[in-house]
Amino acid sequence: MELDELKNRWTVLEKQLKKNEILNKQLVLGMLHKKSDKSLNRLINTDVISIIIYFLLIPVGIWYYNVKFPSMGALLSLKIFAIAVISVAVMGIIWISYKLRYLKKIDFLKSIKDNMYCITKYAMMIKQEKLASYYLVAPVIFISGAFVYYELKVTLSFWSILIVALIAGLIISVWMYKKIYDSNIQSIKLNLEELRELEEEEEKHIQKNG
Amino acid sequence: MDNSYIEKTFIEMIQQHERLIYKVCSMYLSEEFPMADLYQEVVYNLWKSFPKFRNESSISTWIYRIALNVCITGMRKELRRPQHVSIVEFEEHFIAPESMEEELKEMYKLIHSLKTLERAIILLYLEEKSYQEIADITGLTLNNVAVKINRIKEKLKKMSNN
Repeated sequence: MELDELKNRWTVLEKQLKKNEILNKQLVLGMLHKKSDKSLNRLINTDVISIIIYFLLIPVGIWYYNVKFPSMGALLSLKIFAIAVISVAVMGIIWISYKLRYLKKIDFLKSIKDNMYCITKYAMMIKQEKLASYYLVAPVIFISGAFVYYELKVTLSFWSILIVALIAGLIISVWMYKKIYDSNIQSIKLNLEELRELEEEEEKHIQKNG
Repeated sequence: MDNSYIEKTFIEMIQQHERLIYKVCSMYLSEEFPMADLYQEVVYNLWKSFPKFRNESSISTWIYRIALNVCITGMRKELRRPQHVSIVEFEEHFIAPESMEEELKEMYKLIHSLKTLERAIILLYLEEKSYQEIADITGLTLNNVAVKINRIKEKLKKMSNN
């Protein structure tokens, strides 16, 4: 087949496509929902990864709990630290599973109102989670860790490692909340708002034209 | 400009150029990248770039550029990830090349045996774009376009002789 023949067949295709125009507003909007789907998937993936990390923390906590030490004070501090780690991990798993329920309910092919409710509820839970992480979890882990260090009478370098780890942890969590949670929640909300505006406009248009 | 106005304009533009997008996607579809996935990816990328469109080129040139870019480079990155959106109606609506007439199937078979960039050039050639327009869209030089078209012609001749 040479180029001229190819051209003839291309014209046949063009004619067939003209007969077959299919895109309507709903289909194009469906394609745009992809944007929201990506944000939603990012949120779900982050939560699933967090659950896995929390699960991995449990055996670490159990190991700390079973470590033997001759000094009573050090033993007690390690047990407190282990209990703190295990408690944070278990509570984290329960909390994230609860949060995930709302994310899983979101379906962009269903009602905007229901989706808006779920994402708003999720955003509120993220706010509460942020507060709990900064004012409860981080101090509990830090203080119990510091207690262990104090009882073990570690050198200054160990203390600096602990402080650096605390600062790094805080920076990572602030970054995660901003870049992963806040921005994806915002993106989903904006898309839902756009769709709502479009629906309202369509309704007005229908009412106007009877 | 409010969002619903932008969205409305965008949807109208997509509806006007749906055949163009279809034709670009048809050049790159495969079992791994079905028409619906490619089409969605192109529309999504057009939507992302739409606010930046400044009428410096014609709307069709802009669509060709983005659609080809998505199909060529996107196939290597983004599209390798599993897609989570399935728009059933959308998949049902498109004429799959397998269900086309024999002569069109044969045409696609031949086009698909060309290299990735050659497919882009032949598409634009069949769309009756000038060499200059082809160069603008693909980013090749004018000379390069001419050389490549000649090579494609020879290739096609060889293939049909075989």
